[in-house]
Amino acid sequence: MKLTKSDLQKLTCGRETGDRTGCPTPEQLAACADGAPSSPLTAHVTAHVAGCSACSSELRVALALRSEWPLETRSVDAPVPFPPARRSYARVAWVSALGTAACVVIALLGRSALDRFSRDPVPAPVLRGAEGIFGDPAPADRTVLDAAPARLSLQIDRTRIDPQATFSVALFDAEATRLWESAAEPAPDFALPDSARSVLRPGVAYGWRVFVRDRVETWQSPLYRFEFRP
Amino acid sequence: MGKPLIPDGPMTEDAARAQTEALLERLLGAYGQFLRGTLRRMMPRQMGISLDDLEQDVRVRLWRALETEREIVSPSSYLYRIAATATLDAVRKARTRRREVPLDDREEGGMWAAESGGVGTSRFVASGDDPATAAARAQMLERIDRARRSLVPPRDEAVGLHLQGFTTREIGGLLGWTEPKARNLVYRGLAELKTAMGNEGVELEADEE
Repeated sequence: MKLTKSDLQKLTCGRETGDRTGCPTPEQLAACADGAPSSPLTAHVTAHVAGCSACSSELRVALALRSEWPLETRSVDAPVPFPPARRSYARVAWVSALGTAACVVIALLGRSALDRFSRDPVPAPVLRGAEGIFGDPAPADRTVLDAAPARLSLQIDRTRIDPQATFSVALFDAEATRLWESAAEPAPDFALPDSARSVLRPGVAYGWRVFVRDRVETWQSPLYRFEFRP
Repeated sequence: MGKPLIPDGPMTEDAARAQTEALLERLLGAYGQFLRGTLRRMMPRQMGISLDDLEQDVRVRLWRALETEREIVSPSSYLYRIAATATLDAVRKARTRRREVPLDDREEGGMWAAESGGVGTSRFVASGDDPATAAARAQMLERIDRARRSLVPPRDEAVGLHLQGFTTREIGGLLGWTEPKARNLVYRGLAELKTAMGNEGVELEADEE
């Protein structure tokens, strides 16, 4: 029996795809097209696509879409503020008066801003798919330290990410201004330089989070907060 | 004294919604026009996907994502993922609908024609096959799969992607190879495939010019 290369391609591409349960998800195909050669996800997807005409046509759509997409612009690149402003918009004056009174009471009781977080925690903004990757932070969330921290570190389940992934940490103030960001490191353990520590003030709450980049995904840890005593 | 991270009082639903709306407007202000233009050009219209529906779906997904994710590190890439995922979901739904349509009623031509076997005139690829031809095609595909799986990695993958219609540039981009390396692996892989197909009783010959 004879077959030309064109026959071969038409046969392979024209294969009817029935059950799609073993196929990569649209999210995985989109991530693969978003560019991360040599990542485990890409390897998994391309190995599958090589034998699946339905996924190959979908990957081609994702690639075409990606090729049309612009590179990152700076126009909206500023971080979107964290945490969501949990502010009451009640317009009655007595609310602010009550708030002030509450602050005075809390201050008198010697309670810090972080104590209030424990009663009203900020929802942790975790990117989809990152659940369970992040372990314990050091310093622990909502810790009141004796001095500005010298290091920030986070336990991460390395078995669930690309071994080539890099880590960075960003330090924020309460208005989501990025005060400092580390360079990409091979491990989620960061020494705070004096330049970063010098901008920290005692009695003020700060937040930090770790970014994991593996060339396919960028995952961000939940937000961890700390303050330190005068 | 700095402001506390969480101002006193619970966040109202209206406030949360207002914040999400502001983020959505910010993203769509930067990318909205581009998003619509790109979806219009790129979406597989012949599959019966509505641009308006798709764009609406992207907005809804974006809204939901913004409700839970408060920091967007790479807005362009972020929006791309959402748009691509929504498009591919729409494609899968359309494909499911198409499976319920008789083969002869499907349109031909374009990127999606391969789904219905519409691009080929080969004895193996004609649409509306009779059972005997369909069985012959299935048997042939089994032989091709066996032969491809017998190739030395990573030639098997290179050949597989090539047979699926990817260019050597695309293959290189996907697998982190240079284009010459991808071309070389496809070339050597096809030569190896020819031998393997021979073992399956199929002779691969050059295309007629």
